[in-house]
Parts: sequence; structure tokens; C-alpha cells
Amino acid sequence: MKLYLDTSVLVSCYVSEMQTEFVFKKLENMHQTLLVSQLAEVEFVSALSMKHRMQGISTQQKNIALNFFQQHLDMGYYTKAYLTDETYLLAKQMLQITTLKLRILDALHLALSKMLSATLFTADMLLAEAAKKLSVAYDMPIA
Amino acid sequence: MFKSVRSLKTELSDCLHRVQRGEECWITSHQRLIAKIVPVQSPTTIEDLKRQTFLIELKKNLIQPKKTQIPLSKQLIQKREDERY
Repeated sequence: MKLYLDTSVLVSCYVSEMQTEFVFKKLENMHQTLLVSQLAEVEFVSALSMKHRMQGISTQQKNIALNFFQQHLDMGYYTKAYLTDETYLLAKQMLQITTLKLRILDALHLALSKMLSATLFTADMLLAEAAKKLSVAYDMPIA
Repeated sequence: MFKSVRSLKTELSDCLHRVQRGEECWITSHQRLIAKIVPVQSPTTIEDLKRQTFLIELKKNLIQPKKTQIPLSKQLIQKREDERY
């Protein structure tokens, strides 16, 4: 079984918050491949930089979190999910469904999850709702 | 069971077989105890061990942000919602 980690879940693995406990519980109980896309990598850096700009974390904390995340990628704790031509094609088809109100990144996350037959693990309710409508397996970090 | 380092070199396979069945093996060197081989309780596979190590590392290095702000995941989701129309 494959679990595709959306950035909304990934950030709480490194910066403590209420949902962190539920995310860890999920990771503890499941024996599955943890997929992280290049998109999530970039979004992760962007989210931490935003938190730093808003003075929610110090420069040192930001750097520690970024270094650990990179180390975990390098050590193979995560399996990287790569975008292909097919991913863009499928994302393009998803974006044509106007009722879903998807951003480009949403569509790419959904397309990757679907193509890799992975469960999208997200804290983003709207992304989860879109996954449901597109028959993409999803899960959320709730008690 | 007790095994000297010298005997362990030739009887390692037998020793590990007995450990797998639940025994403990004390290793001796010059009449002194220097190590112990014990059966694995949990995790049972290398993948399990890797996962447990990963989670321990995550928990140990978790960043504690300022509590006055909303959680980072919520900030990220809000930012996403602003971009959806």
C-alpha cells in the first residue's frame, strides 16, 4: 500500500501542532511506502519560509526542519514521486472539471496519487473532497 | 548459553539458530562476559526497524513553533483556499 503525503500533512511531521499526533499514529500503524512528490518538496520549503517570515519559527528552527527533511529524503525514508507527461495530461483533464475549483498544484497532486494508485493523505478538506469526486483514494489525519 | 569468542567463530550458525528459538547467548572473552545476543522481539523486519527509527527521529526533532500563531498546516490550507476560485 502506498501513502502519498500532501504538504498539509508533511509540515506537521516537522513542526509540532495538534494534528501531528494523528499523523504519527497513522504512520506508526501502517506498513506502507511513503510517497513524497517534487511538488510537496517545493511546497514544504515554501511553507516553512512563510512560517519563518511570519516569525512563527526562528531561522535556526527553519534550517533544522529543512535539513532533517532533506536527510530523510536522502536516506530513503520517503519514496520520491516524479511528475511525468502523463501526470500533466491527467491534471489537465481534472482542471477541466470546473466544479472542482482546483489549483494547478491540486490537480498535479491528485493526478500523481491516482497514477501511482496511492492513498492521498491530506489535511486539506477541499483537496479531500476533490479526491472523493475523482475516485482517488484519500485519508485525513483525524481522531 | 555461553560461548567464547573463539567458539563463536565456528558455532555462530548454531548459536543464532538457538537464539531464534528464544535462548540468550552470552559471549565471553578471557572468562569475562563481554556481550549478549538476544532474540528480536519487535520489529520483525528491516522495513519495520527503518520505519520505527524514522518515527523516533521525527518525534525527537519536532520543531516547537510560537503558540500564538495558527498551525502551519492551517496557514498552508488558507493560502491554498485564497488561490482557489
